[in-house]
Amino acid sequence: MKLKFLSEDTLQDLRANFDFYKEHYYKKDDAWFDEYFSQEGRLFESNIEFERPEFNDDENYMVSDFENVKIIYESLKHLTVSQATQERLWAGLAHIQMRDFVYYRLKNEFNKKNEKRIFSALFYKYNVKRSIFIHIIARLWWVGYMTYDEENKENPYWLTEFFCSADFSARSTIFFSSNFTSNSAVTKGILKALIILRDEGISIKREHFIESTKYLNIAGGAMVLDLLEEDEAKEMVEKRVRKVFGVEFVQV
Amino acid sequence: MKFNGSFPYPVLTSENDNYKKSSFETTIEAEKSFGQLYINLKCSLQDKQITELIAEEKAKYALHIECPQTSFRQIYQSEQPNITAKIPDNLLRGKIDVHPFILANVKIEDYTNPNLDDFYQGYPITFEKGNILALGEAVEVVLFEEDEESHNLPSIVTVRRVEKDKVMTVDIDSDQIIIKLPKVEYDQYAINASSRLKETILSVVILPSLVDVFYRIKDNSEDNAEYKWYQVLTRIFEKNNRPLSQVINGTLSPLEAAQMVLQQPLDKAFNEIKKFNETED
Repeated sequence: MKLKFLSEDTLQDLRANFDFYKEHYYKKDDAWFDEYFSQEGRLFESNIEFERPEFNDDENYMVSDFENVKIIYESLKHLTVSQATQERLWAGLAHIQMRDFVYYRLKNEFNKKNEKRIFSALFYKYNVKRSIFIHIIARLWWVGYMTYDEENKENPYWLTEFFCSADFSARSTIFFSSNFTSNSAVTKGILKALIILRDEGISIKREHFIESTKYLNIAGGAMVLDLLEEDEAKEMVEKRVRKVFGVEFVQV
Repeated sequence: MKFNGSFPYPVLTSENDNYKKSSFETTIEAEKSFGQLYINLKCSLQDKQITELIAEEKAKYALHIECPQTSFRQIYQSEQPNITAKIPDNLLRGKIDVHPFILANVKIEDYTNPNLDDFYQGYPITFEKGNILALGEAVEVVLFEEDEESHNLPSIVTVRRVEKDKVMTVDIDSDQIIIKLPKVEYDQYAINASSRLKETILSVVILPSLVDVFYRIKDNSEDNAEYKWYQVLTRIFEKNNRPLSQVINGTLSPLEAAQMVLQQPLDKAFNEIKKFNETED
């Protein structure tokens, strides 16, 4: 099967008229969606091959988010990053080929008629960089892309697993809203530092993530962080987090 | 990322007067070719002390490239003053920030420089690895989107921000047609180029630029022929059964030629404005 994109006109129509169409979303009105997307010019087929994956639908999102990052990244690893920034692709998947996943993952939002979250989960509400970590499907791919560790052949998703282990939605937006986390050496350095602390028994919470990026943000005012090797970034973050949260160095 | 030029240590840059006499000047050119984006940096450094640090490999020239949309962020370093970064264009989209530097490659202790402003004399300075010794002029490059549905915006045109110019100008002396916009206009362009008024913006920015290009190729068509933009334009004209030579010999006016290449830009722009006004109502 080929990946389907929304046409630009369709995307703009769904966005502009969301207020008008939203009841169909709340009602999970497949008949309406099917009729709408069967209209001429709504979709166009890309030349990107794709097998629709089976999503994990565990009741606990802390379990399924990690599994689904792996599932979607594996099935769409061949996307170029330039393609993976496109709203028409992710909005298309959310409305057509992965609509059931949207129903599953936004169940509470649909029930509560949380229109703001439904909109930002299906479309790009903010700039591209921010939106791709908020969109309900795009963020799975992007977290996979940013945390995949090619050097760990046995378990390339070990950083992903740590990242997804709690607070997935907030972590995705907070962590990747910093520009320097675009640099994979810095990103991996931070995650590895936090994993060291977790392995010492510390429960890694949102404030640990915030402190790490806040600190590097300040350091980045005086230096070009991209010059750091992964280990150097790791050491800087580890040292800082230990200091701020009063965690002793462990003698090995 | 923006480097604002304020640092807790002296930096050689045209933006401040931390150094007397010394200079660090940079030029950056970007060109797309066969699926790659080449970003070429040329540096000219006039400072004995920093030149020596580079020779000793304590400092390096660096080219920092960041594309916020695709989370692409890389640094390219060399002990040579010219650096070429070659990036597959599918790793990039939209706006790309490019910064040239000279960076400390190791910790540099007890740094002194007779060219430093008197304010800094007598205080040995320590640079940590990654600190900035010199900062060149930053540029932004915008890549046009290859849109499968609509007509591809010509891949031979790049719009760039220029800090000093006050009006739009067009540079045709490279493989790309470079449209240079003053800062304020450029920022507006970058924000709105893919908005609901993108066709209108095309008519405001690209159309007059192409008219300018077509006037200028009349004078110097032989020299221009080596450039990629000229070759691509030649092909576009051939596809439309109108040889480019008709522009050169005056059979086809520059204004007509530009509208032909952009495929009825006024019509598209006015339709867009009409739609825009209808939704506003």
